[in-house]
Amino acid sequence: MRFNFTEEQEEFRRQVREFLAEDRVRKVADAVRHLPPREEPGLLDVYRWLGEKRWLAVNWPPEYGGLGGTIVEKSILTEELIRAKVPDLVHIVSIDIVGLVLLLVGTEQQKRTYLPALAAGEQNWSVLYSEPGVGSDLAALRTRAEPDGDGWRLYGRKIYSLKSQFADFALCAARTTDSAVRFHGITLFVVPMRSPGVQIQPIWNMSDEQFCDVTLDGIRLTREHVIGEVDGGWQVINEVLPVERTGLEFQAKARRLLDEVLQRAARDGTLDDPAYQQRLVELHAAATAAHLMAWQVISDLRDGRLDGVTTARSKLYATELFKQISEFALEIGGLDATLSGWDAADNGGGRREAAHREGPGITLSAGTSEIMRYLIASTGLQLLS
Amino acid sequence: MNLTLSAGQRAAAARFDELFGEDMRDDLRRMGNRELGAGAIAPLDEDETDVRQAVWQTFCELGGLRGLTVAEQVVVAEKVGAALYQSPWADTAVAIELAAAAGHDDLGARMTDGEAVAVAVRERTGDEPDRPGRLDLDGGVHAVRQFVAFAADVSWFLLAGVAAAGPRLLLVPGDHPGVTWRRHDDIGRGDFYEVTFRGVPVADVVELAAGAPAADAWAAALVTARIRHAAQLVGAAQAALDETVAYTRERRQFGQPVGSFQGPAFRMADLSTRVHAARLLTCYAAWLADEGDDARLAAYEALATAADLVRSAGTEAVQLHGAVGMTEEHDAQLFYRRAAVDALLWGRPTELRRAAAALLTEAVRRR
Ligand SMILES: Cc1cc2nc3c(=O)[nH]c(=O)nc-3n(C[C@H](O)[C@H](O)[C@H](O)COP(=O)(O)OP(=O)(O)OC[C@H]3O[C@@H](n4cnc5c(N)ncnc54)[C@H](O)[C@@H]3O)c2cc1C
Repeated sequence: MRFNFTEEQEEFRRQVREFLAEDRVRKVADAVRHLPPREEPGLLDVYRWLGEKRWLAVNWPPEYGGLGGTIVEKSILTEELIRAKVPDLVHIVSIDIVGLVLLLVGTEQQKRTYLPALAAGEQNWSVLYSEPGVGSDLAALRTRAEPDGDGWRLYGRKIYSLKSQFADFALCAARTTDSAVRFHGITLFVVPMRSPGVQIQPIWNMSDEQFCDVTLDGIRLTREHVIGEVDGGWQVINEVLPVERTGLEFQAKARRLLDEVLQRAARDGTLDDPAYQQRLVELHAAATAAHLMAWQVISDLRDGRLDGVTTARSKLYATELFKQISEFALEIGGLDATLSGWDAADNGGGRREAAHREGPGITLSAGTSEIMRYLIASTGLQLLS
Repeated sequence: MNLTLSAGQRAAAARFDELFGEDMRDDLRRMGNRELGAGAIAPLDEDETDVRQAVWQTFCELGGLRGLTVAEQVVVAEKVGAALYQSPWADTAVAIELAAAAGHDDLGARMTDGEAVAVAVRERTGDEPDRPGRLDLDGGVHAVRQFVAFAADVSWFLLAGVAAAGPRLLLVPGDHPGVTWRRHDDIGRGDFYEVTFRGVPVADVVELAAGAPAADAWAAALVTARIRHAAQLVGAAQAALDETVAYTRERRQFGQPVGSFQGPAFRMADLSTRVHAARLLTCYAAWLADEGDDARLAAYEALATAADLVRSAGTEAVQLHGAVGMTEEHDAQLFYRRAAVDALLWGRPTELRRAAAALLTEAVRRR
């Protein structure tokens, strides 16, 4: 076991950190923090600058805009973005999820068409899986691609997606064939989001990131829009889902929040109060563990091992921890911690309030905690049968 | 970053596959098991003492105490914990470390070969190991120590204490006539004793360290002891979970295995996640120790986490087994009872977190 990074990786982290400390980046991060209510960041200049350095998708092959690095460098970048309080979501959805799908099963033509713009930070995608009647049980989806000449027309409603309002394209799961086996007959499509057949409405939720309600009304698609095999989308979805569950960004967010709590507690003296110290140490130990668990998944991925149970444990642990930390942030901060960033007296403390609104979503998205427990219990422990 | 077991760790673990395997498991787990309330009065069973000695000798011959890095020690410790193997191993490892630091290589080598040691540090039963009890050196060594493991079996006592002239670390021969003992009757029904040292002549005692160096050496030895102990508790928690998973897959109610219900299954999933987390924390602390970095914070956090975990694992094991888990012939209650003692043996989790908080506070202020 080796718990440290190589010299080159440390050097990469240092360079990224240096870049993220530049004035122009700090200005972007500050601007995001001061966005009025109900406005949220889309594509940021920071992504473009990262794209110019080929860091945004550092793990992609050079011909698609990366540096041919590994998921380790990619994860270092994600950790540093979060540490520097640069929003990471658009980037994660586009690069880590959509990009990965395209790399895995896209045609050469699709890769050349879509990946470079993603790696350059010039476009972003969203993911359209969930529907009004379809959450955890994704195979029950009802959005339909109906045959139309040499292609399809897409009908359905997709909800709870993030960042669709900024998206150029979306990865959409739809049913192409009715089948007795539910997992068969689902196809992944590229949906051009700025087409007339696509309507996007906000669904306001308590966090800083709104959900989108996307209506797909007969938008026309051809073979070129199919990602992977027709009717074979389920396998791809399942191959990619665990990669959304490394726990990496969640543990990084948990650590950032805990750091904030510790710094504040150091300033106001609560850090020396044994009544709070006990819980702080518990949370600090857990944050360290979450970090190790996520990096174990990342190094497994790098070595070509992907274990759905290890990832489920990491995702479950990191996201549940985030919620515990956000709850404790309020306990140790008192009412001060309930003030939002829009309060007149805000001194940066609003991050605790925002985190507390964000927490409930992370134990739901990318597979709920119950689904993680289900995976651990069934695949990992051979229970539930 | 490579968080898979190293070749050295795998080799160290493999050496103990047989000793701590399925065949020996029942005997090992119950070794030293006594009737309720019989701890203080029942004399040790001769046959059992022989078995225990034989297992200990085998453990030593397999190199359980020889030349292992801390990272390798923790994988062995996990096996010890899973087998609920109670032995002088933990204490002897501490003594070997201290003997080496004091330049007593000969003594260290003898201990490595099987001369077992019992750590004698607590003056009162409620004391913490960080604060060794009083020691009177007037006219020989006088002291009383509690929760001394395997006092009746060992070759040496590692007596840690504070004399009028300051801290001392002493090795007292196990069979010295000036030493007497009385067995405790504790919930784990393990082999713990109150030991009285009554005027053991200083000439019969080996002084490993005195004054500030003794305090420092003791503090350093506690760090590695805690990392090993954390691993032992992780192993016990894993084993309690494994037993529970196996049982709930077999036990049927309402026409199906109870493990097919989400209520129990999800609790086991949570436990398995916590085991995994505690294991990585422990391995991380071990790695820091091997690298020569400051491992204190990681060690305290790992042990506090593992101690909370092993108690949960014991409690869950009994609950998810149902009433059978409380029966004497079943291991679930064994895990539960042992966890009660083992979670406190190398420091209460609350105290460990207090010590961790001091280090954490310092680190935050430095930043
Ligand atoms: C912040 C956030 C971002 C999201 N982003 C996207 C996105 O970009 N694109 C997209 O398509 N979707 C997105 N989603 C939707 C997300 O995928 C769903 O929330 C998720 O799949 C769960 O579905 P659901 O919310 O409908 O809950 P349901 O599946 O209806 O579940 C309700 C409750 O029942 C539990 N439950 C369900 N099944 C089981 C079971 N078998 N055993 C035990 N308990 C069970 C769940 O854990 C949950 O507690 C996002 C959601 C959130 C919160």
